[in-house]
Amino acid sequence: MAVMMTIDGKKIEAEAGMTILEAAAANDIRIPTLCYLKERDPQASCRLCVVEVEGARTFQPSCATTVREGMVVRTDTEELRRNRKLTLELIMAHHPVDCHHCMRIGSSKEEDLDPMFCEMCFWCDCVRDGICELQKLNREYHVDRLPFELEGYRYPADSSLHSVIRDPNKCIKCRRCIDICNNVQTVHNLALKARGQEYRVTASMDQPMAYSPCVRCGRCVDVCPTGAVYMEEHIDEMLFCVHSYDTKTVGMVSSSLLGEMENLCGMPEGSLSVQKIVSAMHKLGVDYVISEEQAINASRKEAEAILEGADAPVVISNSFAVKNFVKSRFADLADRVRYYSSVQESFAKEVGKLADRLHLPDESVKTVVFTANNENGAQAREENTVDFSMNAREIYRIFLRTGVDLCRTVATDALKQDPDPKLVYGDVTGPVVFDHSADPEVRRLNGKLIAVAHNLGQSAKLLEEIRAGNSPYDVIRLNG
Amino acid sequence: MSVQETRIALRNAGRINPESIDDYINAGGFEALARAKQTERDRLIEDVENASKLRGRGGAGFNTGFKWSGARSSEGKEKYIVCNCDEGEPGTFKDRYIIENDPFTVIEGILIAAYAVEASDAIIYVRGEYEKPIGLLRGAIAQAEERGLTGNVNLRVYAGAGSYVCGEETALLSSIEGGRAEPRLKPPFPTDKGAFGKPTVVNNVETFSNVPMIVLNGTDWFSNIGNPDYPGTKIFSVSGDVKKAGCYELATDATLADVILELAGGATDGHTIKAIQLGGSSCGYIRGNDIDISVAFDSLRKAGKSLGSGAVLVLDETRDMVLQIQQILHFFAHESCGKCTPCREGLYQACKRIDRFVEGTASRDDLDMLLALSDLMASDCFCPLGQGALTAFSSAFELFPEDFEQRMVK
Ligand SMILES: Cc1cc2nc3c(=O)[nH]c(=O)nc-3n(C[C@H](O)[C@H](O)[C@H](O)COP(=O)(O)O)c2cc1C
Ligand code: SF4
Ligand code: SF4
Ligand code: FES
Repeated sequence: MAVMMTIDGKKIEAEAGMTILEAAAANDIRIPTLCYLKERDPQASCRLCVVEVEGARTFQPSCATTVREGMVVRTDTEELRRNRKLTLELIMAHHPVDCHHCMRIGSSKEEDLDPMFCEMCFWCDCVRDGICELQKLNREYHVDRLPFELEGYRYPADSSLHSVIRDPNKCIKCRRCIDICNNVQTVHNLALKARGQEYRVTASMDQPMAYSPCVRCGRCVDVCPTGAVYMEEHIDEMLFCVHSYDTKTVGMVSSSLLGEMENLCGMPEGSLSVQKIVSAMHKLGVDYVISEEQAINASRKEAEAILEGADAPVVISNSFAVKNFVKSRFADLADRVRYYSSVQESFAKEVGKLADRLHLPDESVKTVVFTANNENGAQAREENTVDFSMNAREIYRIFLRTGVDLCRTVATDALKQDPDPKLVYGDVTGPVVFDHSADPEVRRLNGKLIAVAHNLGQSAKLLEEIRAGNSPYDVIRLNG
Repeated sequence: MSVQETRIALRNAGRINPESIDDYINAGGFEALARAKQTERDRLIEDVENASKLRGRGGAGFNTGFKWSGARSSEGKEKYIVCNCDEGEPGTFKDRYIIENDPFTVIEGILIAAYAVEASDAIIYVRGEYEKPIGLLRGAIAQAEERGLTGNVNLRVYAGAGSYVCGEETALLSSIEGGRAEPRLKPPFPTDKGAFGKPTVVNNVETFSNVPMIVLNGTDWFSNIGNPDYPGTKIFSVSGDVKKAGCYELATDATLADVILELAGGATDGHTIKAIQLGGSSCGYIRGNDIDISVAFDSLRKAGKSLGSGAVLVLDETRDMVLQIQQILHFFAHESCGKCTPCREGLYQACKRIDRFVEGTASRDDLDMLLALSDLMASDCFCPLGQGALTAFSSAFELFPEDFEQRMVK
């Protein structure tokens, strides 16, 4: 059903059930948000998306307010802007000023900060400098001189895992990570604690991450709007390796990166290719690159060998997070899940073959993987699968630092390799894209009923069915 | 002519032993429940909604029968009645007073509501510190069950974890479900999706206590008492600098002067009343010489004041508003659930600024920031706790600017 309404003087038609935020976005009216996460239930906690709704006593959060017939909304009045600015200033009073006050030019004034200079500088000590939702809003609302006493450092950062790192000082309490960890992944590690000023996100029982049930899927990292949860970075070590003459580096680029890289670099959708990133990788000094398909084919071959002989339901996975998840939540089913090599592990094996062929001594070879899946970074840390496994944000920062501009990079000639025609399970055994939905994807292939999980919550559902003995599937692919 | 109390909710106070169901029954107790059960449900709700016009006594003044009919028409077999006795507001003690004198009338009111909306479960949420009321309610329920009066309604007492925001109905429901005590988004309203996702009626203790007499004496009787738009009585919890602090139940056409001067005896000897905070910590002040105003819900609202929970805090001329506000802001900062930015961070900064007034080191800048924060919070916070947290400050500054100015650095 359609609803007629007015936003900022513009008469628009919206779908009943839509939020004001969605209706505005559909009409190219941008409302600032900070806690809002697409496709998820609104938390309505940051209060930056508030708008004026005629007739309402208070401002309404546009992310959580549904449209009504005849509604009149204003999204950008002076009072709204003032309130948003004050809200940001309040956040900044309890936020490290790492990126807010430039130590080099000695100013926090928005007019003084030249983004070009910032991008080259790297003085600021934050992994999200330049790609932070909070920083962006601060610049937009000219938050410079902070009117409150600054108390940005109140908690120790937790780097106990050396992969997923939490810095509670930078947390703006949007709860996105909690939503993902609890409601999508059903790991129930992250939780809210206490109230008032003590209110914060903690790993379960307030334990360091290394002693928590965290499965290192790294999905919280992807959604955090600030630098409060992030993957440990290894930029300097990686650059050292690619630049040293005695070391040969072998890399791989995963196509899972493309969307987020485009986003970070401000490139139009579809304009980036793996080949472009591969040539950028060479520019950094990586000596050899192995194609993603080659590694994927190797993984899939392993998977199909498992599928061939096994009785239904056969459960397969090549995810590090799934392995950890099963260990802690489904220990009784640990033997039921058959693991095959992740693409990153297969890559490492291919590198071994390459090194043999080129007669490179093992210790002189270093491996670099560019991938969107943070579990790879964690696995690299814990199981030494590769030397460096980096996500889009880290890669973006490396490119900035080294002056590699993806927009102006020319793709290398094809490394492209087609899927192995002998593999019959299609993408059931290949890379699976994470999503937020509650139910696994079900399909029929080769006369078999197959379920593919796109997150841990779905994986848990499938495992529970097996536990209860009522799983209808022949093949189950788990993913984190 | 001296002002008299009109007692409906407190009709049995001092007359029955609160531990004895026989006393209550001898005083006519549970007749209303029997009568209600002979009435058709829709008719009963219609009576409460349109004829009696009973409105919530918990603060928001929402039509009670309207809530009931909402829950009644919601889909679903399982439905809940929740009685709100969180009473976290400092200076409000009427719910405790009702229960300590007559827990049975609350239970009877709840059972009537449960019959009306066909609820299977009823939960009385009592703040944990209220040990005596909790004991009395549990005893009363046991006795009522023994007599078979609770029928098939599963009635129980839930001892709350004791935070102020738990009094907000959706936070209360989350707390009952074992979750974090913090308010939820509305809609869905509790009458659609309340406790455990089931249709739920949440009413205050005092609201329920009125129900048996409405059923028994009829809606005409009730709607002719007090102010026609907010009929019946209201219990005031009077505290502060008065001769006789305590609970007083008055018809709603009374004035604030009736409550303070007539029943509570006015200011203590040798003192004058400087200000009254009516409604609780999140409400504004009324000047001591402006108390000849009606206490009816809507007329107060029109005057920019609020009846709230009926708390009446009387302050005499020795009181300094800055200290009052300091206490209130620190209370709210402690009680903020932390969910939304303006409340969590705004209160923290507001406390720092008001502390400077108390120390005598405040500047114009501190005052401006407090005013800016009160504007921000009133319009941007998620729930009424944050929205009203600085109301007392802005009201105190408006009425008594000198208290603030004299503590500022010249
Ligand atoms: C912060 C906050 C605290 C509240 N505390 C209470 C309380 O202690 N007792 C109460 O009955 N209602 C309280 N309320 C009001 C409830 O949300 C709800 O409106 C009330 O319980 C409904 O009952 P009624 O319609 O019978 O008044 C509070 C509301 C807010 C926003
Ligand atoms: S850690 Fe990040 S995602 Fe989680 S609540 Fe804080 S800011 Fe949000
Ligand atoms: S205003 Fe916000 S932080 Fe304060 S109690 Fe309500 S929801 Fe919690
Ligand atoms: S985006 Fe709507 S309140 Fe945060």
